[in-house]
Amino acid sequence: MKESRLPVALASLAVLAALFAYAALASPYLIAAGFTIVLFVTLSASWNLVSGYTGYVSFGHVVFFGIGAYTASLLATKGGLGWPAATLGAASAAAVLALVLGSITLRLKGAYFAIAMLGASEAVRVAASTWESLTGGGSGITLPNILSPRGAFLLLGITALGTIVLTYVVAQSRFGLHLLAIREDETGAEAMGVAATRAKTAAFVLSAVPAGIAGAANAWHINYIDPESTFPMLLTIQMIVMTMLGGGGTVLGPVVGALLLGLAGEFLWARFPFVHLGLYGLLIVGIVIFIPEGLLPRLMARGILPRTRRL
Amino acid sequence: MTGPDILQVRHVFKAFGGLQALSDVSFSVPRRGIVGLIGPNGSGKTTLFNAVSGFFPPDRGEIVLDGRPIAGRPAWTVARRGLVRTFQVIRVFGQMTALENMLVAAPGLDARAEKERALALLGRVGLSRHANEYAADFSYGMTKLLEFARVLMPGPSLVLLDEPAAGVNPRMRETLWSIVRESREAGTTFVIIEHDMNVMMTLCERLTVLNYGEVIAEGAPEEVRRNKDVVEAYFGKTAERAER
Amino acid sequence: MLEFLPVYLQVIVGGLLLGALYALIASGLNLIFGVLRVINICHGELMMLGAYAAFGLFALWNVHPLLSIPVTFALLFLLGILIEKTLVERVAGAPELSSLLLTFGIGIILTSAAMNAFKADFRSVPALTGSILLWEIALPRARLASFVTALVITGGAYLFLKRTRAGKAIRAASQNALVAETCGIDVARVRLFAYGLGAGMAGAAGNLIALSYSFNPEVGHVFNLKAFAIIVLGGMGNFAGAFWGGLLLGVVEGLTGYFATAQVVDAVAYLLMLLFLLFRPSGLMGAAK
Repeated sequence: MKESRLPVALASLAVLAALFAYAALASPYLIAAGFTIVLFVTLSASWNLVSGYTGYVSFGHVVFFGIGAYTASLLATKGGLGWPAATLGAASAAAVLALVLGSITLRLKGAYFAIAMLGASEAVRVAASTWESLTGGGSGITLPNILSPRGAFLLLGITALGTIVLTYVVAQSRFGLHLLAIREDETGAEAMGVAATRAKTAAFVLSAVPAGIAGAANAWHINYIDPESTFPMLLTIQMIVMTMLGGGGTVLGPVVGALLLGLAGEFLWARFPFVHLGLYGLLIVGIVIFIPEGLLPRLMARGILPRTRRL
Repeated sequence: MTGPDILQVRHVFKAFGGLQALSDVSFSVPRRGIVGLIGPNGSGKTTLFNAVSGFFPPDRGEIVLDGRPIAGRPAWTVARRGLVRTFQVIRVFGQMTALENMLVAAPGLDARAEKERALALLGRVGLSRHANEYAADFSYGMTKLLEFARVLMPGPSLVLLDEPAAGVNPRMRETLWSIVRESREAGTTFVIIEHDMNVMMTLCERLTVLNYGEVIAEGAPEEVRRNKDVVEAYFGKTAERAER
Repeated sequence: MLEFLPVYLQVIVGGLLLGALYALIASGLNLIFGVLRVINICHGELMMLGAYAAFGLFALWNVHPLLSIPVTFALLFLLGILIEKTLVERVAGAPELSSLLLTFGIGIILTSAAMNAFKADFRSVPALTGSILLWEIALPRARLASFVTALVITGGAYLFLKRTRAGKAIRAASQNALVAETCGIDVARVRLFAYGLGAGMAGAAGNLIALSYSFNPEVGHVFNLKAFAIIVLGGMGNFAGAFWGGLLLGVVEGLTGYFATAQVVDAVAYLLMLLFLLFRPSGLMGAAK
């Protein structure tokens, strides 16, 4: 199944060049808008890595975004580290948290896992607002300006690209097949020698890293964090809706969903915050009832797109 | 270190709540043999499969695969040691193609060799043309065949088949049994649960009979057929049913 | 040591008063789960709508929240039936995550609608104020009334399930839908009715929330998680389990609030839920099969 990787490498380089060009040329408003889009792409693609491929739907993925934001901010303010080291720290913290949380919650199945993750993310949010001596509690942390908005955009843009390429590689690999097998039938997969616990924990950790980096980049971008804005339920909802719309368990599904809804949100809905939320609710209901498998798989089933794990 | 028996089950007990599903079960499977496991419904056949393949640990007793104890080991480690199984209720991966289903069970060769092996096995059960179709779109019989092909994919040393022919059309059934015989010649051992006694009598060299969670007879098919307890517990019932 | 006893008693009694409210909400959630096998993750939002209905009736016509319970119950019962018939029933038989995501989406729509209609401001219905003193324990009259009412409604629903024909049909369907169907029970109608009943109970709980607490459109979210935690504690699908689980959570939260800070209280439910999911997944009273 290993086919030529050249087209993918070229496409990645093209996207990379486009990111650099955009970062250099775009106006501050467009940089901010672009940041939101790459944030959605990164988060949806990271959610897809675990929930789309293994079927373990997480209602609390924002916890990795939040832990990344807090770790980066604390390393920068109290630790005095520069943004590269602090960002790495954020990624590591997210990975460690995923390992710990995953070893507990991934034993649960289906809805139990989903809601346990929701509870876990709320518990971590409570911890962030309670542990005032470390986190500043509800008043949050103000950051020094150590990475420009353009720099933060580029950092997150490259993370988004990296997450997609990672998904592509996973989807082509034996590991990816194992994840899909777990999604389809975990017991059956184990009977075929798939080390399910190990595989899904690995996917969970892999998916937490980009989310942690996104939390750090977001902290650099807005120079301020507090518990309410770093653990927003809405962000988890957006990851779920965007991935479901494009199609979970595909490489480009979350990208399509994030671009569609991110652009629509940026240019159409942003002015009506309350309606905005409701539209996501309507979208969830509509997707579950009308296109539960998502756009890309639907197009593949119709023969409009080729049916391949490469998309 | 490897004796003549590839699998030894010694004094295995398993209870669910108050129900003693397996009671002091001992039996062994000779290397490169085809052993049949028979008994009335609810006699503990599938429970025994589940215990042996690691789906739950036995309450007591030893299970030895190739000289190594496996009782209580998780299913996937048992599978990686060469013991794989099929299920009475089909368990294929619906939203994956037949080929991908096969590759999940791949033994870890290089990608091209694995793909060739998978396609060859799919061809053997008549599914070549459907290699790139989703298993969810298959008929019941096709999924049974896919599952059967998949269980051979890792090149297992011991295969447990739980009613592999149920729902498969008669011609394909013959193919299935002949693949079992060929694989045995190539070195694979089989333990089979199957209700068609004619098949069991001709296919298996040995039969183990379970009733109420206990082994009530063991031996060559002809011996077992003449065993009084077996006739009472198993054939007696079918004979009765046939008369009605 | 002894002089602290009244304080502890006060804390525990306070927990029980709140716990009965939890029990009412969670019993409805468990009823729905038992019959439909759907985790109704918009349950808290249905309760929130009940609270606004009570608020509206009080603000417009000065109807006491305790008296408007039948009205909110009926309204939410009808809304529940509408939701079940038009949405939930369409994912019947689909993987459980479909219904989880669906009701999750419905909850978001309801919250957003309430935000638009009522704004994010906190409201309350000061229909019953003051406290009565029993020995040395202060019992706020509103919470005491909520407690008694919640017990009456939960108890009533329990008797309904135990004694009446319709209740027996519901219990049969929640034991085994297929067997119930072959016994001549119209399971589709039972599902509809059970969802309506659960929603109605959530609506009634909304009245009690309005009576004794302040609330805004986002109050449903917290109650969703707590109600789910409770049915895990009590046993999924086990009606009586939800009742005891509710009381237990109320008391544990009360004690946590006393010994730690108020913020930690909300985390207690999640931690208890995680512990039960991991170590005693069948809950206190055993899960329905």
